[in-house]
Amino acid sequence: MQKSIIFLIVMCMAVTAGVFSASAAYHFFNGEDWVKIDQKTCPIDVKNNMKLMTLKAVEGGSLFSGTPILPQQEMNLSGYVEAVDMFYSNVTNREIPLYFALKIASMEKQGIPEAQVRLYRTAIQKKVSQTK
Amino acid sequence: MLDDRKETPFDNKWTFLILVLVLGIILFSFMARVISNTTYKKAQAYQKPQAGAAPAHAPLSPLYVGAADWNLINTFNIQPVDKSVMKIQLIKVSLEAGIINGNPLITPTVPLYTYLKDIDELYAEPRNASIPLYFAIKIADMKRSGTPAANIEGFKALLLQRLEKAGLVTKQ
Repeated sequence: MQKSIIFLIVMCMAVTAGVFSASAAYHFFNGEDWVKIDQKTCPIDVKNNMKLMTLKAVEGGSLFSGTPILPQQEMNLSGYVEAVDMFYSNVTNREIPLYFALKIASMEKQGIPEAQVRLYRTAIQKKVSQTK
Repeated sequence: MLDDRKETPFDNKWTFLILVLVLGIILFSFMARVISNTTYKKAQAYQKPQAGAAPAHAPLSPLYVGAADWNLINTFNIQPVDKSVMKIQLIKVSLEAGIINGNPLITPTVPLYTYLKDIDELYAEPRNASIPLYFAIKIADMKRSGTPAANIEGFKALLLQRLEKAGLVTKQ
């Protein structure tokens, strides 16, 4: 009898832990969400506008929270839509949050050596897989 | 005669209490799951007030989302649900940028879709057209947490003053 109760408690704890870990894992806006914009059934200009606005929201958030992603002289984000599209076209990059995708696109645009950009991307990928 | 009866878990009060506790935990975790799932469904069900197109004087900023972009979404030829989902995404990525930078703007105690109505109302007023979305979320949160209207107006005035000083918005 006691064994069955202990078994029941252990099972319940396992289920509860699973439920809570699933709800606790926060999902950052990443490549999976980005490519979903392309899957929407709407005109291409609307999709491009959605992507541009999303990038503007990220840059605005970073700008007003004290550390802008883009360098000060950068005044237009439309060129970054294509760069982020290309970045997320690589399936292995899709887990990287949009914030870092924009950062990497910005690093590439600034002419930062490829090895350094790759190192940064690998570090982010490692961090993302650790927090999963 | 009574002693021949097979023992059930309910005969022992501690066993009974443990069972009740375990069932309570299961019920609680189930409810938590249901509530988190309904968040997205409620967002889908949310219908925006018709704020209309962007006011003519609201400038489209190249670097951040403002009233012009927000109201532009209303003109997109997509389902109202998609418009709401799009707006929630903008709120989400704005907040995430602050979190990653180490300066979280707010600690949302309510699902993000609850801010939509307040931001729609805020941006429907032409005098708020210069307020970036990032701060519109803050204002919506202040309103939701019961901050007096006078304090909110004071925050807006100070914010616009600082943004003008920083050259991020121009006086209308």
